[in-house]
Amino acid sequence: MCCGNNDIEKRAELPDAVDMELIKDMCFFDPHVHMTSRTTDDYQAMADNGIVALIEPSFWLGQPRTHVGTFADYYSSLLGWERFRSSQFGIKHYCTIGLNSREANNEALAEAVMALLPTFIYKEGVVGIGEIGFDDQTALEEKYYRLQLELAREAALPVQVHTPHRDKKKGTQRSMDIALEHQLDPSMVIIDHNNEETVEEVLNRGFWAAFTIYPFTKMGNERMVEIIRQYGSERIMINSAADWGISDPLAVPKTAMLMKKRGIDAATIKAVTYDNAIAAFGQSGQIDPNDFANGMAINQSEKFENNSILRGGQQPRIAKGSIIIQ
Amino acid sequence: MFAFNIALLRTMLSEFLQKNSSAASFSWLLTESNGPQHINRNFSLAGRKFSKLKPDGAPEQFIYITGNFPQTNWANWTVLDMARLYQLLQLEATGKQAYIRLIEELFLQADLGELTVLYKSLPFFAYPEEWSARCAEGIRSNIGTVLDAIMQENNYPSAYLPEAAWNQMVLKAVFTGKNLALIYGLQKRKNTALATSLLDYAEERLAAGRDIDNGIWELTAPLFPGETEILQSKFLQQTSEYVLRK
Repeated sequence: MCCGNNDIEKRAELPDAVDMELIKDMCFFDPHVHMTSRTTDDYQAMADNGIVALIEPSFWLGQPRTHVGTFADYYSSLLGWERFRSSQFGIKHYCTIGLNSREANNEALAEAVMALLPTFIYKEGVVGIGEIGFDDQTALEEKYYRLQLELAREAALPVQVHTPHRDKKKGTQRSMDIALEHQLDPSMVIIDHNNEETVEEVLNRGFWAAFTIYPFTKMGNERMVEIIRQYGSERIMINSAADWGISDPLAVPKTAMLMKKRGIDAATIKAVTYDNAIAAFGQSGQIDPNDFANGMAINQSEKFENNSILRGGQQPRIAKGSIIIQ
Repeated sequence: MFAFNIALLRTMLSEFLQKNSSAASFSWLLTESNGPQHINRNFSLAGRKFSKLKPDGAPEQFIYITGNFPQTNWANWTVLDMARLYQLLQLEATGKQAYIRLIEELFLQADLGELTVLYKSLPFFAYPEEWSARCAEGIRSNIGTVLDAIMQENNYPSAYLPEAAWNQMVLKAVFTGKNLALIYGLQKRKNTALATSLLDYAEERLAAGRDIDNGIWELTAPLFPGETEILQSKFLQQTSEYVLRK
């Protein structure tokens, strides 16, 4: 046997093979995806699968940063280079700015980052404070979660809350309790990485419930379909949270395919893969769906003025099936 | 300190902005402090108060300002760009080091739109000779809009860049397919080193079987007429062979 090619062939015959017909004419908004960690192939595939806009939350880069300057450069790159890179594939790029929970545990660094945040949260296309919340659920994590909730309230920005992998249910409850303590309106708070155990309380308390379709460690999308069947589409949204781990930047369109296939109606699919994310994060005043609903090319001619070269989706394509590289 | 009449430009921008923004935004612009503690935040906040589009009926509005500042193509500035330039012109410039540090900070923390307008505004900073390193740094960027802002319709590079940086800019413009007609001062600053590099580049393109922007010949022909002619004919031959193969 060589290289597993047989497996790939077998997969194409599976009943659950990717079928673009299922999502014909749909477009998607992935409200949580870490493009900094992804390749241009991913951008191309996302555009091909109908993703027209995305939100890149600030997060942990897999290894702790040790200088405040690397945070400043990271935020700048989300607002500059990554946004430009995304536009080349016709995908509108937004971001949320924040100090993630893991790095909140380095107090000296966290203090310096907090001082930096106010200069970044009013930048164009910053649609919230995020992703913030608990990881280990330490006292320092709580301290900087609270300080950032205050910042969000002052700036009238939505909050994107990361909920912990370990001790998830309690961590999620605590995140919501603290947000309410700081007088945040639950309609301004998106609780992320939900599962069957957390969703009911999140919705009952008036928060947005985001679900991350992420293989092995978070939600699978068959479970997601069942959750949609049970809870409907109100205040629910789906994201990929694709990053440097084994994850899938096509999680949103693939889940739409699965929902369609399993008989979920078109309006519900649109709500959880597009509309609700725009409604929640659009409260920042930074999202105009006209910028991407009909493709980004039109918009770019306005936004980037005298720039005739930049057009969404005009990156030259590589002929992937050919061994010739020109 | 400034290489242009700053008072006049301020007046003109303010007249323009009054006509093209809401009363609330305009009064915010006039009254907000542009001191060191506030400029970073206010420079960003302007994006939430001014239009990112070119103003309606642009041509008439630009006659007056263009008449006085003809080196800039104002028709390609958005209302927001103008507002941000106005903010930059309000900065306290008498202390040279502090002024430069302040603007450098803006560059370091800028988003895409801010970065673009900062580079577009290079001709309007105080101490113009101090910004050539910043300009050269911008040319190292891979962000298309930043490169456009520096290379096209900007009279800073040809006036202030040292030869090596100028040549890098022109080579990068050719390499990234920019419209050479929009580079100000291109003819005036042609030089032997640049022409040599362009001829080398043309040889490379030929070897790779790729075509080339014919605009480069105007930069090489006056200095190397023989070499230029030979290369031009080789490109012609390559094109006709390609057409025949098809």
